[in-house]
Amino acid sequence: MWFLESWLENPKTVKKMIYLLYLSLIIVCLMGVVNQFAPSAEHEADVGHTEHEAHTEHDAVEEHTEHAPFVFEEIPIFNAVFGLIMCVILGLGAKAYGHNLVMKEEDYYDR
Amino acid sequence: MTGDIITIPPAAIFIIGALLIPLFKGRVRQAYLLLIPIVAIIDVYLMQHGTYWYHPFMEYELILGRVDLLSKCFGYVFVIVALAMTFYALHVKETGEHIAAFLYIGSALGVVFAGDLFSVFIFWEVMAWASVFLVWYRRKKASIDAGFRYLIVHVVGGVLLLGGIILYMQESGGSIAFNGFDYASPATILILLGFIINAAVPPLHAWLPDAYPEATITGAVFMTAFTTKTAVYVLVRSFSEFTIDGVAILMYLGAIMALYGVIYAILENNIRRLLAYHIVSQVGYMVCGIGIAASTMGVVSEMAIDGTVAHAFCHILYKGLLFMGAGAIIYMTGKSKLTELGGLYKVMPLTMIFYMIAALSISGAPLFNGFISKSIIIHAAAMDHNMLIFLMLEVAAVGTFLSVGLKLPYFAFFGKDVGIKAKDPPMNMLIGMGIAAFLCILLGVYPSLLYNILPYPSAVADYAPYASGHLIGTLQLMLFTYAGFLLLKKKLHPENTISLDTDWFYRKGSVIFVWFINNPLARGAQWTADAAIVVKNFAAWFSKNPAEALGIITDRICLIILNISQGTSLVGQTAEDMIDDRQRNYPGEPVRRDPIGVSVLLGTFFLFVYLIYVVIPYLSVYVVVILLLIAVFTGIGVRIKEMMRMAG
Repeated sequence: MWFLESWLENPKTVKKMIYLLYLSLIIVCLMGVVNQFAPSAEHEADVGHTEHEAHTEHDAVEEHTEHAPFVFEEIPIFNAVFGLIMCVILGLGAKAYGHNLVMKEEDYYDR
Repeated sequence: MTGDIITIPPAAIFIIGALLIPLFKGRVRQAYLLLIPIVAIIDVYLMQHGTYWYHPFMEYELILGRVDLLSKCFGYVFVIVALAMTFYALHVKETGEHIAAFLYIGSALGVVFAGDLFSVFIFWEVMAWASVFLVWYRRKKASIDAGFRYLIVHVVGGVLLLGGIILYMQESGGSIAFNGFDYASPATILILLGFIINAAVPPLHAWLPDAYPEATITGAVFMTAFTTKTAVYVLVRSFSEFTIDGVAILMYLGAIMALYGVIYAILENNIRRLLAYHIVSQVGYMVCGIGIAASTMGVVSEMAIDGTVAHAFCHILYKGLLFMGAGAIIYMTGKSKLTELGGLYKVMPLTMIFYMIAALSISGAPLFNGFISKSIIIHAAAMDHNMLIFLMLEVAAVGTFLSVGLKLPYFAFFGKDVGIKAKDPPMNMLIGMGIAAFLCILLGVYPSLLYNILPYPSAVADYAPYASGHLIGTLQLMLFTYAGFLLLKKKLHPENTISLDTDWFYRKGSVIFVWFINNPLARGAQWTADAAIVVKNFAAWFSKNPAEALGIITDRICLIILNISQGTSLVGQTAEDMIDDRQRNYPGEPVRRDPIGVSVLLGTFFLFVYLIYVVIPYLSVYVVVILLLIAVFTGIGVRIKEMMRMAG
């Protein structure tokens, strides 16, 4: 795997990959916006009979495969913001919990 | 059983197969080991729906073949993954380890196809006892200890289950049918407790991250698949309509569980313990799915059950693969801590690829199987309009990707190269990993393969995991989690510590317990023994000459109470000296030489006592007491008078 190694350890490649990540972050946000404001043809056809009236069980399934049941899901980049914030909260919160309460030396139980 | 093709219980294939393993050696044994899961796969495939294989047991009937969509789905994944795992374990020389693994798989299959509570209980116990050997065969002190703790917890769980079953038999008039329990009673709660101990629901989960990382390389792989997933199966089977006062507790327990495992995984340094915490987390999704099914009706409920079963199916595949990858790292490098690993992608590229397939699957990345199963449960929570549960499960998904998909591979395969000399594991391990990896991707790409064998195929028939909104949302979630990880990379650096969990209570509690035995309890026991010896010595001394002994004791007491020691006797001795003399000469002459009148007096006395004994039933209590008191005081008075005379 030497070729992969020399390629991956090259600082230029690392930089390129970081840019690629930034690019993909922007792209998925744009995709979210596009998906929100330009619903698919199939979706539009669906809108007619799912306007909160025919709540039989089967309709409910169809409605929810595309429709978001919660208000915040209408925000096109909700998942992006949620992912980033939760990642930070989880990471820092867990470490704070660990350092203050439960993390101990490895021989804790042998002492 | 009908039809032309004769099938046998898949549990029997593995259990009888396990007992024959010692007959084979070398290549033949390897072929034989692979043959058994293959036969079992064919057998499960051919099994027809229905209830069969009745066996009389006392006045009950055991049912070993209750085959429907639910049990067959679990049966499929158990035998398929058994094949992949047997490949992975093919190089193991230890005969006992193979036997333990096969007994374990067989009993898990026994639980899945059991139609009555007795069979469930018997297989449940065999499962615990067989699996503990997979821990013990590592033969380290830490493994032996962890194995014993594992066993204690499971034995307690088994006793709770048995207690619940017996109470249930009383409640239901002797029925041992293993069906749904939809009401809370002491019986059903005990059964539930027995089940959720095996499902590793906090705070009863600590056995799992305690024991799995201490098991053998291949043993841990087997253990990931069966114990918790049979628990999920029995919960789906019997508690999918269970509520307490209308509250579906399993839903909340499951969501808490999903987050709990994630938080501890972030703190973990040992790679297999990190993954073990993610078993807790992922089984949390399933337990939550069962709870959602209990709190809803109709198609949403059916969908939640489908999601749970689908997730169990996928989880067994990718979690087995994750443990295979982690096991390969430990097997080839001898190291299991993230702080000691790094840069392994250069030397173990295939392991890295297989591990990443599993990591992306558990994180729910599109095109991998976690994406098509986990989302059903989250979707059911959304259809139930339960925002809290929905968000908790989403947070757990973020945390899963953070630990398993980013942190572990970053610090083990990439990150700082610590220059470990290793290579990819042997071919058989790679084949095992390859089978699991192939299935992870296959189900991710063709979800309908799985959706068609779920308990309610119609409920998920319309569900489209690859709908644009869901796909884009997942990509956003994962990519931004990745960005968050890069931001926090320094903070999330693994640390050389362990994290205390609820096993603290019995691990530290046991220290206190042992102290209690060694100190207060042992001392108390010593005191009792000492006291017994004193009593024995006294009795031996006393029986040598009871009359004289009694005299000495009474005289001493009288002397102390009345303090009549000043005077001297005729021979110039104090009263104390006289008593001391008597005690020194004890027992002396055992027979008293008294005038004949004394004998007559004694005879009269005993006759009098006998008279009283005869008369007593006709006397009142007071009279008896007064008579006794008179006798005692007269005796003491006579004695004192005599001593006064002697002391002069």
